[in-house]
Amino acid sequence: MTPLSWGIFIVAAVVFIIGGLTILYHLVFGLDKTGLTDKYPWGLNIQGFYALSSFGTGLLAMMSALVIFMGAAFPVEIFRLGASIALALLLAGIFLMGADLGKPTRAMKIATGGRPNSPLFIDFVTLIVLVILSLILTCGLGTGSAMGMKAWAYITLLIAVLCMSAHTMLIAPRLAAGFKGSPFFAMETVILALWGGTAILAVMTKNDAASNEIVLPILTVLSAIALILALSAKIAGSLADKKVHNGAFVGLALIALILMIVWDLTAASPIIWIVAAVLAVIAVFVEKCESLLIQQMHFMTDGPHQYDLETKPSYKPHATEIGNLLCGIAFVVVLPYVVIIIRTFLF
Amino acid sequence: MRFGMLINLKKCIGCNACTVACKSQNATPAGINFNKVKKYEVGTYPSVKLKHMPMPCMHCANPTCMAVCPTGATQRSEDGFVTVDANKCIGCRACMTGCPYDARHFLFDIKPYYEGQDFTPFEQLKQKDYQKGTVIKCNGCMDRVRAGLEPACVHTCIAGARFFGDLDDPNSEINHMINSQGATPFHPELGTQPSVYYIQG
Repeated sequence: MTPLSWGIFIVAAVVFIIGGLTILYHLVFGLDKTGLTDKYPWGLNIQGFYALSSFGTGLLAMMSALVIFMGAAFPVEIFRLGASIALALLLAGIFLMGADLGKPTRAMKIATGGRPNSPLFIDFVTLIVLVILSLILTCGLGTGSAMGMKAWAYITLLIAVLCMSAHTMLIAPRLAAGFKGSPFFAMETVILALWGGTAILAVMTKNDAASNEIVLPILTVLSAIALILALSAKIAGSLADKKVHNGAFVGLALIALILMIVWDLTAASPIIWIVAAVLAVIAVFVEKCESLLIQQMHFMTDGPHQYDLETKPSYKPHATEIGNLLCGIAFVVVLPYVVIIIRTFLF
Repeated sequence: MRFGMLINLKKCIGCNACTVACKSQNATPAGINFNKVKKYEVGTYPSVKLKHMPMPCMHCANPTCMAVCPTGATQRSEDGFVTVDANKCIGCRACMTGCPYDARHFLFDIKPYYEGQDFTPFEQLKQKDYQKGTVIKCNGCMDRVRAGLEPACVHTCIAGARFFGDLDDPNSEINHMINSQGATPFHPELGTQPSVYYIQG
């Protein structure tokens, strides 16, 4: 731990504690302080949940794929750090989801409710299993056995992809119920989880040439797929005379892709692809807002009975919701450092 | 048996008596109306008309809200009422994101209707089953119906725009009116099979 690392850790810990108070408030007192309304039943908490859990599942999926590709040559220590980051991302997502429940103390009813085909049930179960799987790798259990690691990788890959697909199912009823949305929503959700996870993995493995040789081309390819899917959604929207609001995402994805291609063609400084990776993470977070919270999720009005006089309310997150998100992001920094500190001083 | 409702938009005058009757029947907290009357306009100036469209819960036969509920809190009874069990609801609001009819409300807080005053005896009596942090909705005045009465909104409609009856009975008055007047549900293409039909106004 360098002095800079300690500085980052202390700042993140302070943000985590202050933001944690807002999460605690929501867990104890409910959602009486919020920018949410009946028109906007999901807001920044759910956007954060979707984004952070997508990064976590994407990171685990890509790490497990690399374990399968590379066999025993995968960088164990880097992946153990990656697993702790994935663990933090998943737990932060669960915190945000918990804070967003009207009755957080009843969360276990998701598991005991007897509705195994509910998307929220599948999401809940897969997230818990992924938390356990990331904890296993964080602790280094089974890393000495090639067979053990392969088993971990296959199980993790399957559960991570199932979790991503559960995220697409969470919004499927809304689309089925006539709300507007991108026709590529489900595909985008899965690709963006992989894209965000790959971006984080690329930054983590920047000093490991063998991993980077695999990860960076994948990052470029996923950048291209993410951009084309978003552009295709715009084209499909125009065919149906509907506007798909994903302009910010398209812009960020385009810049990220150009940077990746420029870096690949010119072999320029790694800072270029690092910037592209950061943009990918930001783009995925922005997309969660664009796909979940804004205009396209309003009900279509082209039915037999139009009612256009209603003003569409806007959503402005309350300070407590911003605190929740900052707490979640800070936790993603704090937990891996705590793991490093524990490993440094205890082992 | 599947109870349903028919609303004649030719007769509806937008007086909101149904809204008030519903509120009195269910003592919904401030800001929450199970029975909304949407306003919309048709035509272009100078030939413009203001129209009204009452929007209760559609008590769908294939409710998307029930499909997404992770705890089974949302249930559909044999006689067609879609209800929420507050003791099972975890407040995830997945049902609200899946409802195309604006029929569900989240209890962010339960406050007295009159600012600066305590809960009235009426509120204390009628709101005892509401729980902060859960989703509530129109229950079709299930208790009234099972006692042989009409739902409060139907009973109170001064324009006689609402009818209530058994959709499964081909000889019921409501079915006769639906068939003879070409009534349609709201957004039938969504496949939710609403139990509320409208005669176009």
